[in-house]
Amino acid sequence: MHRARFASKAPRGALLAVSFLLLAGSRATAGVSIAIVPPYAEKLVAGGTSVSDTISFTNRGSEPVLVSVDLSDFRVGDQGDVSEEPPGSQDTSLVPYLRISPTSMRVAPNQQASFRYVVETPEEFRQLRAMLYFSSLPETPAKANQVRIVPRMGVPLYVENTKAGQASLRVDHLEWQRSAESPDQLLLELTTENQGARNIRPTGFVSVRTRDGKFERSFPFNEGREPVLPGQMRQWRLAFGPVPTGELDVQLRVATSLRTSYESRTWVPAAND
Amino acid sequence: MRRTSLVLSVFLVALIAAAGSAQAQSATDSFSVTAANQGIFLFNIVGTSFDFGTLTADGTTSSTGVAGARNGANNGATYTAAGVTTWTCNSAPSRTVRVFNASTTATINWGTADRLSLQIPSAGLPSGSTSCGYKTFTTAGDGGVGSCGSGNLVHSVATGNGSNAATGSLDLRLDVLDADTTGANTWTVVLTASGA
Repeated sequence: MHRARFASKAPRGALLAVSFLLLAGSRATAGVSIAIVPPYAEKLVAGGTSVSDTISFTNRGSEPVLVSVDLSDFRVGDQGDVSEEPPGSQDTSLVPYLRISPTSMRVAPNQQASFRYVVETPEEFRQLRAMLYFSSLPETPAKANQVRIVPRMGVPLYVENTKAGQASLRVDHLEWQRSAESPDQLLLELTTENQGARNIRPTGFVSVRTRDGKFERSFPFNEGREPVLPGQMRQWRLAFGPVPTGELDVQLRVATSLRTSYESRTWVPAAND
Repeated sequence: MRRTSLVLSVFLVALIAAAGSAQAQSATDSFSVTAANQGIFLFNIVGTSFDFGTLTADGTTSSTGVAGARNGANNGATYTAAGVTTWTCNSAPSRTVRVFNASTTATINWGTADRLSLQIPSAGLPSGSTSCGYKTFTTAGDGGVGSCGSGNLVHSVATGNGSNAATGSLDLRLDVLDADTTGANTWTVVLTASGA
């Protein structure tokens, strides 16, 4: 086990990146085109306190939309899939402590709107979470027997207690193999479990090298910053490539906490072996 | 002096490069999203509504030009419109796109909500996605259950990490029964994209 520091800066980096992209591509496109920043929010606060922030909603489309906000609880499966649960139904529900304003608003083309949320945390908690759904109903003139298409975009909001134990990722299983259909693709199966009480979005890289050193390349691991929630078992099935079909030296390095990382080294046989 | 000139030259080159880049970006209606963009959430829908127009149980072409087909004696007619819209979701972290018929009785003036069937065809969906074919249902939401049996039109359409974008289209089918007195109606189809 190697110790290294991995800083998590996703939301701030996201704001900068998406703000640039929005400015660069600010011309209206046909139909509905919605951008929401940040794509997720994680707040670290003490019990019995208040935290607030805004979510930015930009209508890049050609039609005005009526935006409405609804809340739900959610669960995350082993593969990272999200299932919606009724608001307030889960032990980890943030809904009872969450207020958002406004809950509906008309947003014109090229207009940016801000939705402010306030969380009054209870005295005792570890992690609370909720999904904020933004539905955008286009203002289309009614016609006979009309079907309207509405995008509904979910932004997960996590509030974590400063007293809650930091995330700690355990690697339970790791396996490398070549894709049977495409031998130039390496397939990784990785099973991890978060033994801490806060989220972790484990980033890292995969380094691939041939024995003679003529090919050497790195691929990002979890570049999209998917999380592993507290207590969650997460199975990753990822493909990396293209890589040569000969024998390969494959190294994986993944952050397992704020200060530690997991490292492995595997020799993957040549495709025809 | 020489160092000042060098710094100035580098600054000017950088400025010109940035100006050229900005011009290239603004020349297009869309922007490229790659896995290098950490933290992004966009949803584009080309056609936000579709009008079947005035139609009858005889299956004659509707007032907006949608072809109908008579299902046989006393069986009404079916109107089909393929590829009425295209949607694209860009996201990192990844999100799963699900679609359901959110029509409510409040908007149904003739027939019922389940006269509308929807399909997201397989073509265009990312690898690993499942198209559930045409489905007729009245559900107000699938609850995010990832299976065709739950009433989904499509499931496991994930966008993120290796490829940030997922794209699909939507086909619609409307049934008219002989007993229907057709008038103006509105159905609502919701495309939900959610992730952790």
